[in-house]
Amino acid sequence: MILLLGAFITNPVSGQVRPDTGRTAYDIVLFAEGLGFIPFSESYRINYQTSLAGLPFEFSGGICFPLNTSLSGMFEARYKRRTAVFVPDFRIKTIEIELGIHDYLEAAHDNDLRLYGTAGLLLSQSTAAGNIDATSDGTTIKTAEVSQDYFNIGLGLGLGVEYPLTKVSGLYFGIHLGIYFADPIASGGLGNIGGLSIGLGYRIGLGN
Amino acid sequence: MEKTLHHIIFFLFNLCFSFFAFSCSDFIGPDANLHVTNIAQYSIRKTFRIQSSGALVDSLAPIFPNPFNRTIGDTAVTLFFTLKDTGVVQIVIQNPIGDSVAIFRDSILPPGNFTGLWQPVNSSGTRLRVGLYFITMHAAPDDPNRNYINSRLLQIQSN
Repeated sequence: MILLLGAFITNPVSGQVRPDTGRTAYDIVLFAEGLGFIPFSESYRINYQTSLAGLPFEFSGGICFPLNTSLSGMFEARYKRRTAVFVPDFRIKTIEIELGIHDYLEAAHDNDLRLYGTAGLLLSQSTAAGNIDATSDGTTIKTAEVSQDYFNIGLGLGLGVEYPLTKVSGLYFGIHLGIYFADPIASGGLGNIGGLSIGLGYRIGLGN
Repeated sequence: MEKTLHHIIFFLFNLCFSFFAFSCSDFIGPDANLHVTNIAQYSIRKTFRIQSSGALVDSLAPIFPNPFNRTIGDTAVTLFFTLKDTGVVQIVIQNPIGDSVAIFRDSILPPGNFTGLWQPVNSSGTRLRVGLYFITMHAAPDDPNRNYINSRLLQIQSN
C-alpha cells in the first residue's frame, strides 16, 4: 500500500498546473472517511478487535477552513469501537478530536493526484464498559454493567493523496498516525491508545 | 449437645481454613522479572473447568468489595481462589487494555482454598486511580495440561 502511495506521488504530472490566485477556493471543506485501525500498543492490538456494526472500521469526519490556496485549519472527529477478545462483553469506545492544519504539499493539477499532509493536537475520550459481579461481601452477587471514562492527549500526523472528482469534490487516500502520552498505564490509565489508521475518504468544498 | 457439636465442627473448619489462608504479605511481588503484556495467548473458555461434586477445582471466586470505594470504608480487595493441585499462582492486575499494572506471584501452593488481600496500588505502591481493572488469576502457568486462567473485572470508584 505504501508502494502504491509512492507510485502515486512519483507519478509524472499529466495535467496542467492550475494558476495560484492567492484566493481560497471554498469557504469550508467537509470530509468523511472510513479507516482501518492498527494500534501501536501490543496489548490493545492483540486483546481487542475493531468492531463497528460488525465491520473492522473506524469512521471520521470533519471540516476544514481554508486560509489560502493550500493551507487550511482543520477540525476532525473520529469514532472507533473495539471489543475485547479475552473476556466476553467488554468494549472500549473512543471519540477522538483533532485540531490542526491541513496543507497541500504540491500545486493542484487537473485530473491528477495531489499530495497533502496534516498535523494536529489529539484529544480523546475513551469509555470502557463491561459487567462486574457486584458484591460487598462475596456472598450476595448480582451482575451490574459499569463504565469508566478515560481522557487523553496526543499528537496526530497524516499524509495522503487526493484525486479530484469534480471542481469542488474529490476522493482521497491517506494514512494517519496518532500518538497519546497523557494517560500512563502505571496509574491505571489506558496508555498510548493511538495507532496507524489507513483509509479512504471523500471531501467537498462549499461556498465562495 | 448439638450446639456444642456445631461449635467443634466450626472450630475445626476454621483451623483447616486458617492453615491454608494467607494474606497479601505472602505474595512475592511485584516481580520485575515477569513481563505479562497481555493474556490473549490463553483461552479462558478452553481452560475453564466444570466443577464436580466434592472435588477441588481451580477457580477464582468473585472478588469483593466490588465496586471498591474507599470513601465508604473499603480498605482492601479480597481474592478467594481454589487450587485443585499443587502449583504456582500468579495474580496480575491489568488495565482495561490488558497491560499489567501490578503482578503478584506466590511460591508453590498446596491444593485448597486461599484468600488474598490486595490494597489497590500499582507496582510502585501508589494508589490506583478510579477506573476498571482486570484481576487475573493464573494457576500453574508452566503446566500445559492445567494452565488455568480466569479474570474478574473490578471497578474502583474511589481510592
